[in-house]
Amino acid sequence: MSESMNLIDQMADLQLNYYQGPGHLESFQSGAKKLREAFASGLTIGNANTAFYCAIQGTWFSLASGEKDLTSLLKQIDYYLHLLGTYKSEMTKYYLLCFRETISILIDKGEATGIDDKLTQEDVSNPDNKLLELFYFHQTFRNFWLGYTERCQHYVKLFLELKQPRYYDMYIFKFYQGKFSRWNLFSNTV
Amino acid sequence: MIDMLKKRRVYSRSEQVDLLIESMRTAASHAGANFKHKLELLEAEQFGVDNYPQKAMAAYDAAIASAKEAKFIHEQGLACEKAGFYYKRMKDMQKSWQYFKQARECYEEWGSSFKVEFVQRELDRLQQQQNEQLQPRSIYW
Repeated sequence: MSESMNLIDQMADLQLNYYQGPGHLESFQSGAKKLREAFASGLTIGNANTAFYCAIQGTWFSLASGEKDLTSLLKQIDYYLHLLGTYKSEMTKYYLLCFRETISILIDKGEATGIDDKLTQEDVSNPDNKLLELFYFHQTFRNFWLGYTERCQHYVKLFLELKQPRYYDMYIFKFYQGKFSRWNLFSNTV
Repeated sequence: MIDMLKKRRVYSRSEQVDLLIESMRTAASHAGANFKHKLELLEAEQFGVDNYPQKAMAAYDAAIASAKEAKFIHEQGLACEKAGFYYKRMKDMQKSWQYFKQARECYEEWGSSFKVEFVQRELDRLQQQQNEQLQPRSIYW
């Protein structure tokens, strides 16, 4: 439709708006692919800001769906971080560093793949900080896969106490919450 | 007043789980590709805890098949891992071994060395148990 209406220049904006809203109902994997295309399209027309938001949303879809293996995803994030040397954006950098650390932890607990640059609790200590949602989400995700039940529940609780969490799919949190609610007595893993 | 009472209602753990499964059912009905296998995995765990082994086994298999179909390799691994633990609790070590082995393959494909090592430790434990059972008893017994 965007091609027939000659909206190529708005492709990145269209895809971003779609996948931050109704696109959540589609397969995360197809969303990840479309958002990578939108990233390239956004950069081509000089809309770097939107392009990097597409990159962040696409990285989330990719991680949540296992669309790419973790090593490839890590390389892709390093490529985005490399590009950020040219297109400076602190907020985007924080988001990507957080993803990077999560993926590095999932690969090998950050032993061989980790870097020093990361988002810390101090960076998000202000309750109005928009990065708080990001931080809680990633802590939940990491602790879920590491099998740290109490820590995972703790961050799920903190996330759900946020005034207007919106970036991440609430149902994924419900899955994590449900996974640990009753049957964790039987197993010490996720 | 009614709103206040509603807010104060404390759900039991079982009720909480039922509510979470219900909301996962809603998510699966709208976005099956992303949530069907998650719903089936929660149901499998629920059946396991409530002691419905046949239903639990079927739900684990359904979760694994749905995750595979949707190509959620990491959550396919998770469902296999949970099935492995379930069969271990049920003392069916052969089945447990099979599911852990599948989980390891999924995590290898996903690229998580951490999870591969975790599952490998479970496989090693099962192997050790198997070896101990096969060893001849001591003459001092």
